Amino acid sequence: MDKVEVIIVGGGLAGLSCAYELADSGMTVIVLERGDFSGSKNVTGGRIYVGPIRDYLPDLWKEAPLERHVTKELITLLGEMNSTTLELYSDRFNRQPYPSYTILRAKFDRWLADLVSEKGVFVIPQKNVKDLIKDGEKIIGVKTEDEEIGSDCVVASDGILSFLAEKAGLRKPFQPQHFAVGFKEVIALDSKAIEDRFRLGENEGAAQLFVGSLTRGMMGGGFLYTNRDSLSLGIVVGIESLNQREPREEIYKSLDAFKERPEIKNLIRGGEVVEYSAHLISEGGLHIKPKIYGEGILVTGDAAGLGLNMLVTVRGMEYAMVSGVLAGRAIKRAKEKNDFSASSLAYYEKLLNESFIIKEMNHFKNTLSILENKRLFSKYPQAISNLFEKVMRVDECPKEGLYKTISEVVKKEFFNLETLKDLLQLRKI
Amino acid sequence: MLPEFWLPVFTGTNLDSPFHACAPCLRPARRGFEQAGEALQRAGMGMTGPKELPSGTEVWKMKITEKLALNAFKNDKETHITLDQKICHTCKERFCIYACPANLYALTEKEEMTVEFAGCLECGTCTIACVYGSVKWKYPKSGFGVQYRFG
Repeated sequence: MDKVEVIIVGGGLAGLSCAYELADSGMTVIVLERGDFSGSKNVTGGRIYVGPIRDYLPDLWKEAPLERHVTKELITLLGEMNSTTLELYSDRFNRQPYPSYTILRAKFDRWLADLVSEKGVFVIPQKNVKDLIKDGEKIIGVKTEDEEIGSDCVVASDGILSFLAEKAGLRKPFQPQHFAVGFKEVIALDSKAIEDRFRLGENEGAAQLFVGSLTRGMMGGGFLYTNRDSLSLGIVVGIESLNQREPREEIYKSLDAFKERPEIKNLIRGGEVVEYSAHLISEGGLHIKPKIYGEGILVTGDAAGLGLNMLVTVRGMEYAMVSGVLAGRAIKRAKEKNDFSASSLAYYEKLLNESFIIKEMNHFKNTLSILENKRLFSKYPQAISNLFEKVMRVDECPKEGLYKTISEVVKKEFFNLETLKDLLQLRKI
Repeated sequence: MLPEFWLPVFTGTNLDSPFHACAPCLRPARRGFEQAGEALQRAGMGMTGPKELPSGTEVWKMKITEKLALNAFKNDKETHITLDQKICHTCKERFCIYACPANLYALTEKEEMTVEFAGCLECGTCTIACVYGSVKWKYPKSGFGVQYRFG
């Protein structure tokens, strides 16, 4: 059996970042990617926050093929026939170093894999890892479809469904309440049209979140990101919430209905759909985080459940990259001591706990319970849009005083025990 | 370098699917293939949107099968998703049909649950949505399945 020192399973952000960190260590490292190229099996909404990860991977960002730096943040509350949008522009977002960029994974991951290869780590495509090779409790290698490769350490970066974390006995079976499905279209649109419709300068981008009637009462929301010359438009829905929804309706139809809304129609007019994609999103946070190290194995990125719903945004890519780097550091230390046992590799968890990742996951550990409140996705977006509409509407009847208009709606929709309880719940996040 | 792909193999279930390649229906499958090929080429050249829409097609009126036909797939002869029909027979809710974002699950006239694996986006939603454990899901073999060009 061939042997290398480190086998990284999965050539996505976590795996490649780990490889990048290990590239100058002198160790023999290979990355096994099941797709034809890194990124061919990956999907994002999406947008990546570079702020938190710049220091971990300082040399990446000048050349990285990112889309637009985000200068505008929008939140839209959708009623059935109306909507309210809050739009934030900040000079800070438009000043280097830019905090975040929109991103397309097939492009970005592929570039990162090339970079990692140039640094001397083999990134081998079309290598689907089927199983781990164990010696008692110790992981000593992997089995692909046609060969066995030995290792001192396996880094499981095989994504949210991580079969390796399962085979290593590190994680529990999946439950619907801990996952959401995100599905989107990439819609090609001329970059000038994008800049005109979103009122952006050249290379500037917008990130828009939607909550309300588009998910038909289910937990979730919509998103719209401006890439260089395309838009990523999609919906995220919690799977348990999907399963429970009455009346039953195929989920793919929600995106078609969303596109027909005037708020969306006029943004995508003249565009051309070029790709349709879907991916799972971890919603369980710390509640489902598996054990992330064992004898001869580390787990990174989505495979380690490192994803977080922060309500106003979703985190995953940054966590993947940094966890990969930290895994790399733990491996370097293990190599110095020539000790790849669980107690040595536990250093990885120590690094992770000290990082922004676990700290943030702790701050937002109650997000799931907040999201169980269906009123967030139906009643409140509708009520707020109705309120705004009443305030702005002028018709045949003599317009009443603003205080009267507002207080009537507030009393009707918001002055009750239910809403008070909901407001108090917000303290948890 | 752009990945190679070829016309998906007949999967024997859903004749409305663009993924089957039997002779009388080759035209819709091939059109999807051509669209995917064109999109693939454009992607490699730094894509910009079209100056005018093909007549009659509004971007918000695309059918799910038309969207899937835009993707690049390399399809295996064997399915990567297996269903336990014994479990499916006792299931009333049919979670899979509603949860799959690619609309690949369907009941045949004989009340058997089928999945059009050739259009699979490899998200894994079905295996989680099916709380009864009927969906045995694994990734397609190396070199097969969807290859995202944008992600």
